[in-house]
Amino acid sequence: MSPQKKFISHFSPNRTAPADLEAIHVQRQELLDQVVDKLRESVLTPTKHHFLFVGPRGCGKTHMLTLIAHRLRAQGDIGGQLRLAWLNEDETSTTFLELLIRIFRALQGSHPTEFLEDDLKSTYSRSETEARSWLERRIIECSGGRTILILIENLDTMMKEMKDIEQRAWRAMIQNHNQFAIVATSQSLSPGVSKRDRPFFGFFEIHEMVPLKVEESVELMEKVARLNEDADLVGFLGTPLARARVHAIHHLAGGNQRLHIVLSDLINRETLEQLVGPFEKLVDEQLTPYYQERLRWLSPQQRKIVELLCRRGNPIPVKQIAGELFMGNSAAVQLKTLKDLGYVRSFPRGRESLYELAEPLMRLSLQVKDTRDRQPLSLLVDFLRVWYDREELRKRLSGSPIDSVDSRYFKAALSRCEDGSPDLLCEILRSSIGDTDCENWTDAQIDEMRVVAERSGLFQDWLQVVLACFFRCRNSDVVEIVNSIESSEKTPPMSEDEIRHLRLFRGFALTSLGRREEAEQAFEGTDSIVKQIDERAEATMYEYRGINNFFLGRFKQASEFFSKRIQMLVFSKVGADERWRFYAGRGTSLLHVGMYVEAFQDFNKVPSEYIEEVRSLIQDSVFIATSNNVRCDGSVLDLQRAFDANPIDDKLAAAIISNLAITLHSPDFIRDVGVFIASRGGEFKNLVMSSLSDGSISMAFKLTDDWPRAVKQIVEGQPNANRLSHLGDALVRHLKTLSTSLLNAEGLDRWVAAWAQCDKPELRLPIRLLKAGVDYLKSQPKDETVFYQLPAEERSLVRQALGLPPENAES
Amino acid sequence: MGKTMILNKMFGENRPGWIVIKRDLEECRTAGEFTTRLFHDIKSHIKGCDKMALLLEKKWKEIQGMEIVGVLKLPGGKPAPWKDVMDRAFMDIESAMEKENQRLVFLWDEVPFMMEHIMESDGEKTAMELLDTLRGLLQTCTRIRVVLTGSIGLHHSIRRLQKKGYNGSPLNNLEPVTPGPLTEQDACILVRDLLEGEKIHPETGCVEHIAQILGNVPFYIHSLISKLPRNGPLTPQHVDHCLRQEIGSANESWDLRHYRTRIPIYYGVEKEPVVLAVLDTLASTDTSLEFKNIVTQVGSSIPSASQETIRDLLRILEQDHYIMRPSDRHYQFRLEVIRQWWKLERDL
Repeated sequence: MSPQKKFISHFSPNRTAPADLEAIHVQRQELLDQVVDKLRESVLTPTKHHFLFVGPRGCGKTHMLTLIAHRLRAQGDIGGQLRLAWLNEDETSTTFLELLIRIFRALQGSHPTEFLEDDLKSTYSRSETEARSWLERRIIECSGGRTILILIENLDTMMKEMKDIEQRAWRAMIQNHNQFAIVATSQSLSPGVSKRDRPFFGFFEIHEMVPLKVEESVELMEKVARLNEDADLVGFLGTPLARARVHAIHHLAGGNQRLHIVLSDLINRETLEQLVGPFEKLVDEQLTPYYQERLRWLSPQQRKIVELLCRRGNPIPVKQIAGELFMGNSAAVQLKTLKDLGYVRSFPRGRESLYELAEPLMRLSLQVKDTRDRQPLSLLVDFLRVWYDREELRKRLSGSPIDSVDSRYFKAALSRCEDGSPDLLCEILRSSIGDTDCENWTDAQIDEMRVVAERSGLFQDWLQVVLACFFRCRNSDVVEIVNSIESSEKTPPMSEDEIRHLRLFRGFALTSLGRREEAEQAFEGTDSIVKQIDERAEATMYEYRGINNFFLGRFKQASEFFSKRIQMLVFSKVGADERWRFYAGRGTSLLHVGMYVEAFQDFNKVPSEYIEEVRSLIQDSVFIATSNNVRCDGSVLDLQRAFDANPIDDKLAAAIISNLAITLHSPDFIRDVGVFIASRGGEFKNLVMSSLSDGSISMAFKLTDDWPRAVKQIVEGQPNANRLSHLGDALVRHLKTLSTSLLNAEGLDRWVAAWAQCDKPELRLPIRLLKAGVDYLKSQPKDETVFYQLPAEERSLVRQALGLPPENAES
Repeated sequence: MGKTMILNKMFGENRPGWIVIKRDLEECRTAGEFTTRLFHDIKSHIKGCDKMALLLEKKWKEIQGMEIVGVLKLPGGKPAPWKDVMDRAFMDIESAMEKENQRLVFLWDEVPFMMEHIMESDGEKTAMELLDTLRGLLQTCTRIRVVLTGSIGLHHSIRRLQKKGYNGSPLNNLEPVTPGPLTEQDACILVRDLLEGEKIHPETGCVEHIAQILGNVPFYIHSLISKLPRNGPLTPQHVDHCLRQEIGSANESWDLRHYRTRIPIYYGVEKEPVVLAVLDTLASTDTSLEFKNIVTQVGSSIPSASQETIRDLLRILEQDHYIMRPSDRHYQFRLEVIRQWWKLERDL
């Protein structure tokens, strides 16, 4: 059995269970807390607070009042000190005496033993002046010094009808008897409180009740759904489609809280039978009386303006309104009042203002009266245009019996779609995004625009979504979207160029995801497109393709893409701190195709502060080359020429030679390179040996699947004690790499264990230092006392390897 | 500017030997209602003082049986003559005070509105009599003092009476006080206390910033602080943003428009363009402007505006609290908040 739906009164929140109102309260939680705190202070201290909530009907003012009353009543410790007079919303007072009677009656209703019926009866037997003094005095006396909290709705209406002198009498009572607090609501900021010559100017703490934002509308609908234990609706509201529909409702309801609660029932209806019936019922029973009631509040002139705007779907200038209604200058004045009252909104256009209804749903109030022949309600037709795309409308029309209610609505909606009117849902969502660049879209906006793109099928919409996803690093989404576009048969079909354009971004996304082979496939055939887009896209593509090919071990192609990227440097705004990467990438790639002279030229363009990064890149490339079985064809003679033509940093030179030696060169190369190293002296040889050891350890470290075997292979491959000693030094230096790796404690232990298995005297000290270093890296927070397992000179070595400052002994 | 708050503070902090009676009089529509309130206030405040109550009870015995329901009535049901009640109340309380070596001060709020009501209900003659009676009694009863306040000046009511032939000077022995903005130091104390009450934590310099941009005016300070955000520490940027929202809102509740709409009424339609030009000139600069600069700039938009006209207008604008002179020959808006609003309003 489905759970019973909670009763949420759409028009009288004070009839809804307060706990349920709390459950669906949105946007104003903080304000509610503050107001209740200050009213509590009003009850307990001589400081009295007075609040006025201003906002159009349906914005949640009564909801707020109900929660304030509920929370105060729930505070048992102040119950004895507080008397609450909630005045009937539908009554008004034109004199202070009438107001006093309403206050007394409200107090009598809640506390009949304190505020006696006889006192009220006695009031009626007196003259007005006497009655006023009498009742004021009785209220004060009967309250017994307690604080009286008066809750008044529609204060603006009351003030409009109450003369200044009466308002002054009311204010005097509040000033003369420091035991009143007031919470009032008002549709607009009336002159009674906003003009400095009026009694209540500066009297209230005024809070404007702003319309709900879309996110708050979703939150409200979610809360209503949760209250009703409607899991389906809660789930649905989490989808982009639901958010898109909320946007549409928001557009039609103008952020009106009441209408959102009313319309939340309809949001997940999928079939017309489910939608039309409840909607017409809603219109008949709730919305029409609601708006007609709102119209009744207006003066005849104001009503005429609203009726005119009801007939118009678009904003119109004041001059046109004045002309069509023969109103002259008074139209501008009336429009300002209507704007203050929340009935209309305006948009500037040059020197004039255009006006339209603040709530498009108000059009119903007029249309219902005009459609006695049961013409489809235009707003429901608009809803259908939001709910279904053209294709879906056609399908549903063909499935509906001729002349049925359904078919009339579908026909009307379809005809609007086919008469050149824009897709309403797309229009609403596009306008909600406005001019925001897709680079700055939020995730929610991306999801909503995806709904638009799915609906329109237009390349430009999809491109925006794909771009936005890419900028938000939602790379998997980019891949999925482009895949789905390629495989779908959506109309309008996209051209081959448009498809290639989207594929280009799939290539970018796949590159970012490290799926390099797929990325390279996606980039195929996009060269001509990327040139049409812009230089930034072209530069990015070359860079990405260079990186992809590098990591795939296709060094020749990589060097070519890096070259293209480098050629574009003059056009791009890449700083010197970024440029070196392309030279390093190309230079390293060129090493593997034996073009040493060119490689060295590139390395010489890398600033000296990045040499360590280049060494590391060369190490990586060696791993890639060996993993992909890439053979190098260069000769030592070429290498010699390169050194002669472009002398480079010795450390870098040592790194190049040692790493080339590890790659799959011919035995002749290995032999000749040995001679070459020896020819450059002992110091250079030592550098090469160190670098070779660094490279070996780096290679082993990358083989995470089987460290014991990799380490054993390296250790046993060392021809003599001297080389083992170099390997030990490299193992300690490698601690720095460990400190920045993402290895967890277990991984670090595995690395230590792999080395601990090697019983070589030359490695005993390095392994001890490695273990201490790893203990330090595992400690949380970092604990340097772990180094005390080592003597001072060893501690100094390990600290140096980890980049820690020398230890400070206690004095 | 906080007149009622000043009265509340005086009422709450009265000195020994003084009895303080505070009353908002804007509800009183007739002289009879006023004297009834007076009588009732004296009676209820003296109640706690047994000796004095006994004295007064004896003196007022002859009007026992009256009804205090708006207007005092004699036992026969006829309203008691207000002048007699007023005389009696003042004289009796004076003698009671003398015997007890006490003094009494009435804090009467919104007196001009009461006077307006009395003129409407009882006629100007009664209003004149009331003022004269009050002045006479205050001269005779040296142990009674009054503090009168009003949102509009009492001189408006007196001017109206003078047009009807009144030639008394009831305010001659009263010292006029116009409460202006707070001192900078006091404004900061107010800001700090209000922020604390609202549980808002200001960053360094924020308190002084609020006081400064609101010209140390308590009303604006109270209003703005109630609108400030509560989440996280408050920065001057939050304050500026909130102020812009407040003064730029269609629902502007500070009635700053008053500074614009009263210009044709105060200065006449013919001088309105020059006044606007002067204020626009001063609003457009973040600092004060020298007289000659104002003349040059106003003259460039209104060539017919003479130096003398501008000089006169500057003096009147200063009297009407639009502008001030921070130093000789220099002028600027009196309140920064008004300047900010003026810029928004006039698209400067």
